[in-house]
Parts: sequence; structure tokens; C-alpha cells
Amino acid sequence: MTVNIELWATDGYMSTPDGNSIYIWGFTDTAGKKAQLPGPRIVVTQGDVVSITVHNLLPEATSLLFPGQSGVLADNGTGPHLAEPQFDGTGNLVSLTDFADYPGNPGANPTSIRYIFTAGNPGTYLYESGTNPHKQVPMGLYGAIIVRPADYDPAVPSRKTAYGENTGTEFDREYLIVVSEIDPVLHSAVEKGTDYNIREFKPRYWTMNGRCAPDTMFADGMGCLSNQPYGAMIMAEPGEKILIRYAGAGIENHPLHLHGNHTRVVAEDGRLLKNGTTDLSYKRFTILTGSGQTYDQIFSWSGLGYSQANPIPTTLPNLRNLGVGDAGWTLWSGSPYLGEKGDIPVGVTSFNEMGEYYFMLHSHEEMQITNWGEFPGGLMTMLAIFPAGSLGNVGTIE
Amino acid sequence: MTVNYNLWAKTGSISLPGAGPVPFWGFAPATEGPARLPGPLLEVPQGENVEISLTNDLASGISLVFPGQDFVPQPVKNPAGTFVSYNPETASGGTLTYSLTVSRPGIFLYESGTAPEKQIQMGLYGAMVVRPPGFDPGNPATWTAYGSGSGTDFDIEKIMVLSEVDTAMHQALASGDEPAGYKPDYFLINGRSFPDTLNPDDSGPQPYGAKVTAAPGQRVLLRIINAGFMNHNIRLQDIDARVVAGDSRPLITPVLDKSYLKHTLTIGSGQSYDILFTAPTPGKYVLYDRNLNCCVNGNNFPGGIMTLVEVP
Ligand SMILES: [Cu+2]
Repeated sequence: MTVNIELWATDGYMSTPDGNSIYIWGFTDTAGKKAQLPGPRIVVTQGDVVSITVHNLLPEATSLLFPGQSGVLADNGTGPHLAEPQFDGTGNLVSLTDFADYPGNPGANPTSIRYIFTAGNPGTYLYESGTNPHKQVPMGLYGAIIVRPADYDPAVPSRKTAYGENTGTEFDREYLIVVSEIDPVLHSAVEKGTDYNIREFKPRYWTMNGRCAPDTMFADGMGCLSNQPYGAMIMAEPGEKILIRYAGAGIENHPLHLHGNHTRVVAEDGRLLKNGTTDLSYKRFTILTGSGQTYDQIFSWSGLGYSQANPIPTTLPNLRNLGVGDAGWTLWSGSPYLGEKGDIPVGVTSFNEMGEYYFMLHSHEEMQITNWGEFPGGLMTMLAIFPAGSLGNVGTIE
Repeated sequence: MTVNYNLWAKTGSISLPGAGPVPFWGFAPATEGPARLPGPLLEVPQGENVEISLTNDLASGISLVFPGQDFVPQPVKNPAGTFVSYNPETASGGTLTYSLTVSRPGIFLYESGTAPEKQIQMGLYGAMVVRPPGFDPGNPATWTAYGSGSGTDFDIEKIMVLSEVDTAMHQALASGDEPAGYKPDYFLINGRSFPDTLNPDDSGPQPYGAKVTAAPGQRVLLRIINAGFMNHNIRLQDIDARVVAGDSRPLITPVLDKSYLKHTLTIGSGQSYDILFTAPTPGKYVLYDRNLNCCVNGNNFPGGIMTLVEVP
């Protein structure tokens, strides 16, 4: 099957929890809309012929690379040919791949370009700019592609997998977390057309799906985050198989870990960690999510089964001795038991809905969990374990 | 058997795109020739005793260490008990011989063990490739990285030594000043920044080209070793590459295949990876650092750690 996708490379603004509004470049899949961060998720099935047309509205040429795909073709009006690094008349490299020119360039080359490839392998992939990538990728010209295995069938548990039946990659819910970072000085230099010194690169914000914590925990499609449509909170019920797809879209590597749980890495860069019958998957507490790379992990949360009838063998601290931090709010339910709510300290607001548990998922490089130096923020979200039967179809990517 | 090498540590000057001559310290293979960045490639058969006679034409003491090899450094302290170097020094103007037995095949660094935060940055490093038993340079049928059964048969081999240069630090150290800090502005493969990486081998101070040319179907072995201080995320665009060894530990044995596919690989400072791929359909394929701030020369893209795999 052929999947046709149209993207517009354009500009827009992202907002940060500390009230900043930052100029971005990015993609949208709707003509006339502002750029979103990250670009639209592309979900296809193994074997699909994927045709992605980029319309360039930026003030400079742009392009797309598809790391992990092979035999990518480009067509800028003269017919499909192998996408290749581009050189100018004097042999200088001008782009890592065929590009779309920018409107108004006297060269009058086409401002749209189509890329075509066959999604040969299931997995998690990035798409990202290959033109001035040191500027365009940090500005936001990136997004993620999920390729479903050819036999994918969400109605059949053995075929609701990341890499195909009998690959040990069955899942109940899945989440995609694309990480990056923002140096506001770069973004304002691009907005104002002023110079930027690459050696002074100094990120002040770090993003999961284009959002800084605590915005990472908001649902998809919040009106107040109109250009950052994807939430990054992981929600699951006990015993479920959870697939988390990390994609490193930034410049830096980010060591991400999930409190209280080791995850099993089953694939890297969209390639199953299995040679024949040899299982190369591995468990990790902290995954160094390298820039330009992807890591697919599966894990299950199973508590110890504590309840009022099977109480936790410890003495809980007195309510008055509980600190909840300066913010005055908590995600704690007031009860140690899953699915129950209890008392919380006076004056504290609890955002706990139904006695669910929260575990932090964050970068272990602590500066990366701040918003311009202010903790908490940045590369942080939560894994929320909800009581069995309460979640419906959250954690579904379409 | 013993393989003998003579190295001379000297001052020299490298050329980087958009920068004037940049002073460096490096190893030369001859008393009259220029110092090289990286140092001369040492190629030895597994099991040999290697004796490296190092003559120091620099102003300060230097030493050699061989990370990853069966080699026990003998750290040196001064009479007050303060650490001096990881291994006995060759004093300025002197000559000292370092010896080790290369007990396993692979790609390794040799580098200074004295004030390495300065001397390695200044260029006192090079690569050593140890050939497995049966390897005959004259007979391509015998070419493997780790011996038969290791799944590392290749037709074309390219060694890539990664590093960075902070030109301000080089200027300061060359004139005897303390550097202000480490903020590299050039990023190198085999001592060269793109587009110089594409130039063929030559006899100058940066003699090793970094472009790969292969015919469709040829098996290409990339041996990437990081002599720099930063981690680099090496990406081979549009080519499915298989990691067959890490730090010269082969991942394939006759009974177990732990090799894996990866399009972008984080290569930490001091680490090495052997990557094998089959040259695809004719075209130009770019290899670059996905830490995109290392794909520049100074403030300009393109540059730095970037080269091409060309399939004509
Ligand atoms: Cu933690």
C-alpha cells in the first residue's frame, strides 16, 4: 500500500512552563497551520511505500533524512532518483540529501520535494532535516516514524507487537517519547536573523515530545499547547506489557530512567535485538538515549499486592511530617494502596485521580530536569499505574 | 618475534579548513619527517612483541600507554609522592623503549600517559591495528578483523580515528601558556576536518584520508576509535551496518552471534567499534557525527566529523 503524507516546513512558537514562548521551525501536516514540535507522528506498516512531500515555507532550503530506511528516493520534479548528498557547482557540500529550495530564491528551484521509500523494517525511527542540520534539527525540524510489523493486528494479542509475531515484543499499551533540548539563544538568533556561535551552545530547556515538565504530563492536544500536541505521560495497569519508544532527536545524549522499574531494551535504531534464536535484548535501569538513535523497551509493572487486607509491613509517617515541596501540590493519593485515596496534608492539592501510583521517568543528568535552571522541569514525566480496568484505551498510537 | 618501531615526538603544524596553521605535538615515523596527526598507524601481527623506541624532541617529558592491550603501566611519582605520569617518561631530548606483547587482534590507541589532558589534545596519539593469525596482507582471502569464524571477513578496511581540536588551547600550550578551558572548534577523522577528510592519503602532517570507496557488494570494515575527549554519535546514512566488535572484543564466535545492526552509534571517548556493511547500490553515502555541533568547522556547516562512502 502507498501512504501519502504532506508536510509543510514552517515556523511557529512553543511554550515553556515558566512562561517563555520560543520561536521554532518545524513541520505541520495541515496547510496554513503553524509548525508543531515534534513534527507529526507518521505511523505506517512494514512493506508500505511511504511517500512524503515537503513544502518549504522557510527562509532557507530544507530537506528530510530517514535514518534507518534504505534506498530512499527523492523527486524534486524530475522523477525519483536515489536521495544523495548535494554539492554546489564548486564541489562544496550544501545538503546531506536532496532538498526543497526556499520561496523567492533567485535560483527558482522547486520549493517542494517528495521522498519515497519502502518501510522495510518495523520499529521506531526519526525523520529530520539534512540541510544545515546543526541549526534546523535543534530548531525543531524533526519527528518520529513508527513502522508496524507486516502482521500487526491490534485485535489479536499475539500480533499486537512492535516487531512481529513470535519476536517477544507483544504489548498492551505503547508510548513514544522523542527527546531533545533547546538553547533559547539559537532560537532567538534565528528569529532575529542574528549570528549564533555554535561553540556557545547551552541548552536551557529539555523536551519530551516537544514539552518541558510538568507540561509533559498533560494529555495530548491541550489547547494551551497548541503547537506541542503530544503528551508524554505513561499510563498503565498492573501486569500490562508497556512498550516505550525513546527517540533521541537532540544534539546531546540523554540518560533516561524510570524509577522502580528496569525496562528490557528489545530493539535499537529500529532493529530487533535478536540474531536467529539468540536473544540480545537486555534490561537496563538507565538508558543512554543517544542523539539520532532509538530504543524500544518493554516492561511490566507488578506491585507486591499490598492492600488494606494485606498491609504494608511498615509504619507510615504521620501526616504532619510529610513534606510535599514548595509547589503545594502532589500526585500522591494519601493512601499507600493502589486504587485508594486517603487524607493529604491540609493546604496541599492532590492531583491524584483514583489512588494511582506515580513513578518518575527522567534524565539522570540533573540539569536536564530543570527549566532554565529551575527544578522540576525539562526531561521528566511520570509513569502512572492505575487500578486494573480503569484506563480504557489510553496508550494507543494511531 | 619482535617488531620494532621508532617514533619521534615533535612539534608541528596542521591545517584545518578556515583556520590558519595550528600548532600541535605528534609522533613522526622518521627523524627528518613531520609529526603526524594521528601518529603513524602501527600494524602488527597478533602474538608479536612490539618494541617502540620513542625519541622526545618536545620540551617536556612524555610517555606511552596502550589502552586495551595486555600491558601493565608503571605509574611514576616524584620524590614527594606526587603523580607524574602513567608510565615511565621519555625526558626531553631522550629516548626510551616501550615494549608490549600484542595478545589479541583489534584496533587500539597508543597515547601519551603524561599530562594527557594537554598532550593527547595536542596530538600525541595514534592507532595500532593487530592482525589475527592467518592474516596475509598480500592475500585478500585471508582478510578478517578477528580471525576465521569471527564473521569479520572484509574486502575494504578503513580505520577512522576520531578527535577534536580546540585551536585556542593549541595556541596557548604551544606558547607555554595555560589554556583557558576546553571548547573544541574542530572535529576530526584521522586528523582532518571535512571536506579535507575526502582528500586522498598524502605525505604531510595529516596523511590519512577518511573517504571510503567500495564497489557494490564489497564488504567494508570500518574501524572507528575515539581518541578525543568527547563522545561522538557516528551515523552511516542509508546503509544498514552491523556492529561486529566493541573495544576489540569480537561479538561473533562460532557458537554465539551477538553482533547487532545500528545506524547511529555512540562511540565514547577511548572506545572503539568495528562496523561491517556491504556496499549498496551506487551512490554517495554520508558518514557523520549526529552530534551535529561536531559537523562544523569553527562556526560553519559543513565540516568536522563527516566523510563519504562512495559506491561508484
Ligand atoms: Cu531518578
